[in-house]
Amino acid sequence: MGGSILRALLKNAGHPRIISLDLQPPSKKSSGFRHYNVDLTESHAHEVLLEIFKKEGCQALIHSAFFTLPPHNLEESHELHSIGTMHLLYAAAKASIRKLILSSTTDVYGAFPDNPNFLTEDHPARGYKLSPFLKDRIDAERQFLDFSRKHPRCEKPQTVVTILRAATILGPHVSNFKTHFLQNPVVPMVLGYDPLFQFVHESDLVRAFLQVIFEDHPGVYNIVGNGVLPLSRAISIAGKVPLPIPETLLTSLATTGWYLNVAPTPPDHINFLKYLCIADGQHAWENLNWRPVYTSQEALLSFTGKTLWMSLRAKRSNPKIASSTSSPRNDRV
Amino acid sequence: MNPLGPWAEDLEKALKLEQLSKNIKPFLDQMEKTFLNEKGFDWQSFQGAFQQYFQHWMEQQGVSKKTLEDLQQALQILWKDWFQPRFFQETLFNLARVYFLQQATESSVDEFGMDPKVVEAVRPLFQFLYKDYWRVSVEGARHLPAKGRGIIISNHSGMLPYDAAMIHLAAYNEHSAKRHIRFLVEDFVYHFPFLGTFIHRIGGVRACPENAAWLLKKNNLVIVFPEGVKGLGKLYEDRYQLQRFGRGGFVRLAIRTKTPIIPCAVIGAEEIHPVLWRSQILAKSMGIPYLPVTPTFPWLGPLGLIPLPTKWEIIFGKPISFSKYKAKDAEDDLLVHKLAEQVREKIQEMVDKSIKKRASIWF
Repeated sequence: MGGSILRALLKNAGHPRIISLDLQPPSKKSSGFRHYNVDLTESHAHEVLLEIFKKEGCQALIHSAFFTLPPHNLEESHELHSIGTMHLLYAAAKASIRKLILSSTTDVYGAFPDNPNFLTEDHPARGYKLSPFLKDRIDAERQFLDFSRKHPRCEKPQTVVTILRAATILGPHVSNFKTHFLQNPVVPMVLGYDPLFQFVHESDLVRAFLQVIFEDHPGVYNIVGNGVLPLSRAISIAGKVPLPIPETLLTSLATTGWYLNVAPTPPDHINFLKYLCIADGQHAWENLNWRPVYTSQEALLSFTGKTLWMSLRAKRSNPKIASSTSSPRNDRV
Repeated sequence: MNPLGPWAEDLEKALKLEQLSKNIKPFLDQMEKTFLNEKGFDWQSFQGAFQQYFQHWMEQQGVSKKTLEDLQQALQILWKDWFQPRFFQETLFNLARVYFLQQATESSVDEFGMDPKVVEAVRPLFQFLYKDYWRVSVEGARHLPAKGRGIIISNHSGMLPYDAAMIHLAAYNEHSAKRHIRFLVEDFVYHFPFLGTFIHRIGGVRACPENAAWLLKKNNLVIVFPEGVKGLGKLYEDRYQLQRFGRGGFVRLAIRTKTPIIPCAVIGAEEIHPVLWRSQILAKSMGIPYLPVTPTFPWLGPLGLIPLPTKWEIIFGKPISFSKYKAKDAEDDLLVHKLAEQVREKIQEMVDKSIKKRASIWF
């Protein structure tokens, strides 16, 4: 995702300076931005970051240094998600960075049978009950919110903290555990359950990021596409074969698959195949001056690459950010 | 000599197996002679002979021919009027079509997961329940608004939310606007596989203030059962005694969104599953709020879930408007409780009046 945002920023001429922070240098050589290799899990990461921030005079920071696949090593994930965010915020406070943007996901709400059909931003994030992976994401969010409380807007310089919770991101260039799930020829479902799903297209998400970079929108926003799809429908649109499996069997299969490194997610995520986890995008539509171009269904079609006209349509309505190349696994902008 | 020993021989004798097979042999021979021709086994003449034999046997037992004929006629009527093969074929065919022949690019469900195709497919089934099984009669359908939002408040009963489906059909059949009422369902149904998904697809929405507010914002007619699970699992001895109306959330909603409330009384639903006793310990282990014990359930298994064919009446009352209250009044707990109690009394009154009038629960 970070790569796409970077390219979109580069295309928007007139922006002063962009730096990218990552474990490895970018896969493609491109000019226009400077790159630093940083490892957020190191104990002196905040000193390294502070040095870079001061040297470059950073104004805004997008934090999207998260695993796109739930990692097998939970300690490593905790180090990166929770402790890495801590290092980042230490350095940001010291360097008095004005704007902090966190990329999060609507999964943090968790899928539960007692969820309302549309989760607003005020709804408590209960995903920590499901999996440690989501727990760390929620912890990162909490740290950002604490940061905005410690550094209120009345202070000089004003700090703006924005959290964007994106629904399942789909698009021709995205790769995360949900796209892996939909790419198998046979997609497992839980027998007797057919929850509604919601998607957002990668270019819509990039536009939302640009919006909060160039304008001040403090707060939490759900970034989702219009409309919902039942899982069975989504699978049939993707041209795959749905395979309903009784829950107990699926849980044991997922557990085995997870330890054998075959399944894309640990079995904790099975609730997402049973219950609703749909976010309400009203708040972002009204306040961000941003609208999704793709509906959920169109995002899925674009992901499956079935329709050429869909990408043409996106180019027409949004010529700047229609094309973006593959994004590496861990991105830090 | 039997290879198993002398005792096995004794056993065989005791069971008279030899005699039994000797008796059966001529019977089978006779059957073959009569019914087996060159075309194979003749089922039709076998059925006729069996019927004759059965009648003869019944007469021997002391059942008169008249009673037998009556019984036969009743069965025929049942078969023709209730279990018409066409009706079942239609429903099954529609459901199959919906699930197997979906067009991949066509958008299907609305934002709450209702699939219009599924609604159309199951409508004949519910129309059968409405027209033939429970013979629902409707009073005061004119009180339903032709457009704009509204909250229908009703008494709740019957183990499964059949009453919601019948109120939905009452509005669809009897009101000229043919409105689709959305109903709020207790969230325990969503714990179950199949049932939760099915209720979603036919238009049910999980009961919570957020969902109700969203539906009203989109100018829907919404059925709310403030009794909730307490009403659904009402004991038979408590029938038509309206339970406490929650914490009056529907009044708050009505005041905030300036929505009229339409009181509704459903008569007949409270007898379809006479709950004699509720088991809470068993239910807890199954993750449901209660496990009802009726004369038929769980003794007859899934068959015990067939509701009784009582006679239903649905009465819509005059709309109650809370427009004179301001949004601030919704915070006043005492006022909200008082207004909820008023609505409850109104519905109780409608229920009592109708029960006095009816002669039997079956007709």
